[in-house]
Formats: sequence, C-alpha cells, structure tokens
Amino acid sequence: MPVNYYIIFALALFCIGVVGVLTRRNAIIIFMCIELMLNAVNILMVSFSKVHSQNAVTRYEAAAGNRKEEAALRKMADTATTEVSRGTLLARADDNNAAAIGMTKQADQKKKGAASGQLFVFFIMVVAAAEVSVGLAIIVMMFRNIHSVDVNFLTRLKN
Amino acid sequence: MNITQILFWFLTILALGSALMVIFSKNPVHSVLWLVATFFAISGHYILLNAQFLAIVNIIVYAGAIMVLFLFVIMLMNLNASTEPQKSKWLRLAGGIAGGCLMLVLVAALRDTEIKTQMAQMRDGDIGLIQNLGMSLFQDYVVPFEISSILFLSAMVGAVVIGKKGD
Repeated sequence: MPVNYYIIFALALFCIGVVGVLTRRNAIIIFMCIELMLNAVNILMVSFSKVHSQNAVTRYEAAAGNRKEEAALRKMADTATTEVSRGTLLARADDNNAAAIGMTKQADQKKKGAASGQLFVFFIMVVAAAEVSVGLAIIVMMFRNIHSVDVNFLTRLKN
Repeated sequence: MNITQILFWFLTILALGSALMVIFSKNPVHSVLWLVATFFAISGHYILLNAQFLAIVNIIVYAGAIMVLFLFVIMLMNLNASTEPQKSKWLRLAGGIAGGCLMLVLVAALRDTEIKTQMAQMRDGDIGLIQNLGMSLFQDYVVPFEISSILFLSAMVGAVVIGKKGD
C-alpha cells in the first residue's frame, strides 16, 4: 500500500478526534477522543516504520546485486589475459564491494529506525495507560464534587 | 484488487465509521463500545502491516484494560443518554467546521510530500516481531523503559491519592 493512504487515514482519524473534543461536553467522551487522536498517531508511526523497513529490504537487495556483480567481475579478472584489463576489472569489483558495504550500512540503519518507530508506539501506549488512570481518577473526583461530568461546570477555577 | 487492498479498505472504513459513531452516539456506553470497535480495526491494520506485537498490545492494553476502565467509570457514575450534556447546535456546527478545516489544511499540506510515493511493506518483514522489538527495546531503549516503569508507579500512586475519599 502506498504510504499516503495511511497518512490520509490517520489524518481523518485525528480530525474525528478533534471534532469530538470540540463538540462534546461530557468529560469522559472528550477523554476518549484524545485516545482516538493518540491512536491516529500510532497508525502513522507504524506505517512509516514499515516504509523504512521496505527501504531496508530494497537496499539489502541492491547490496546483494552488487556482491553478485563483484563476484562475476573477479572471476572475469582471473581469466583476463592482459594486465590492463585485469586491473580495470579488479577496480570495478572493488567499487562494487564498497557500494555493497555502503548499502548494507544504510539498510541496517533503516532497520534500526523501523524498530524505533514501533517502540515509540509502544511508549505512547504506556504513557496513554498512565494518563488514563490519572485522568479517570480526576473525573471521578470531579463527579463526586459537582455530580456532573459536564466540562462547562469546570469554570470555577476562573474566579 | 488483491486481498490486502480489500482488507485495508474494509478496516479503514470500519475504523473511521466506528470513530464517527464514537462522537455521534448519545449514550456514553455506546461510545465506549464503538471505540473498542475502532481499536480492533486499528489492530487489524497493525496485523496487516505485520506489526504483530503492537497489534496484540493494542488489543490487550487499549481494548482490554483502558476501555474496561472507561466502562467501569461510566457505570459507576450511572451515565446514560438522558444525563448526557449537550452543546448547542451552533457550537456543534462550529466544532465540525473547525475539524473539517483542520483536515482540509493537513491533507492539502501533506498531499505533495516526498514520502507519498513510497510503499509501506505489507504482510511481510520481521520488524514488528517480538524478537526484533525486544532486542531493540533492551539494547537501545533501556533507560526510557525504566523511566516508563517509574511513570507507571507514580501514576498508580497519583490515581489512588486523587481517588481517595475524605479530606
């Protein structure tokens, strides 16, 4: 799937969360809409992580192609008759080797980045769980004091 | 259209539809149940992207723990459609327009990004498997992991202190 589908999907989910926060007065529903927005971000992070994973795969493939070409060039160099052509073949083989090493390094970095993306989603979930426990405790306390979960009653702090 | 695309569209429509039902249903309990449906659809997306660890954690933590907490609180307060506070029609309309404008601006801004031609790897790839994530978590992210455990401890203490009755 192209990643822009995921971008649009996550944006739509996020905006639904924003609309919910703006249009509802029940504190619990507002809280749920915040969870919705967090999840939109999570989806985006996972899809970007998979984009990096795909890039890592293509780079590994490129590195494998370079290595194959290098092996072929070295074989040709072994059977080369003149010293000059042997030298150029070996130089090209070395170039391919360097390219393969560079590609592998890039791919390793991409792979690490992809894993980091998913771990950030994990940490977002951790923080969301902690946030929900404290937030719901606050809402329960508020309900005990004013017998309502309407956020419009929470303007007392103003004066 | 292959099976991956069909699943993608099905899960997307399911997620967006239930997200809309979350904000449109009058009864808070129904909102919670629709939100659980949304989380299941999002977990389906994670499975489609082969992020299996996150899919399971999403179901266990979000749909399992957090939503049950919400349900408990709603039932504790005995909320239903008749006690639901309503905003005036104009405020709701304004909220909808504001959210729609945000969506419009973000989509317009991100439409021509460089990344949009890139493909997300579907169905395969070993990034999301628990082995890779565990290695990365305990090699590169040990300190944040421990800090999050302290965060949990403080959240637990905070919830008990706030929720405690009396003085």
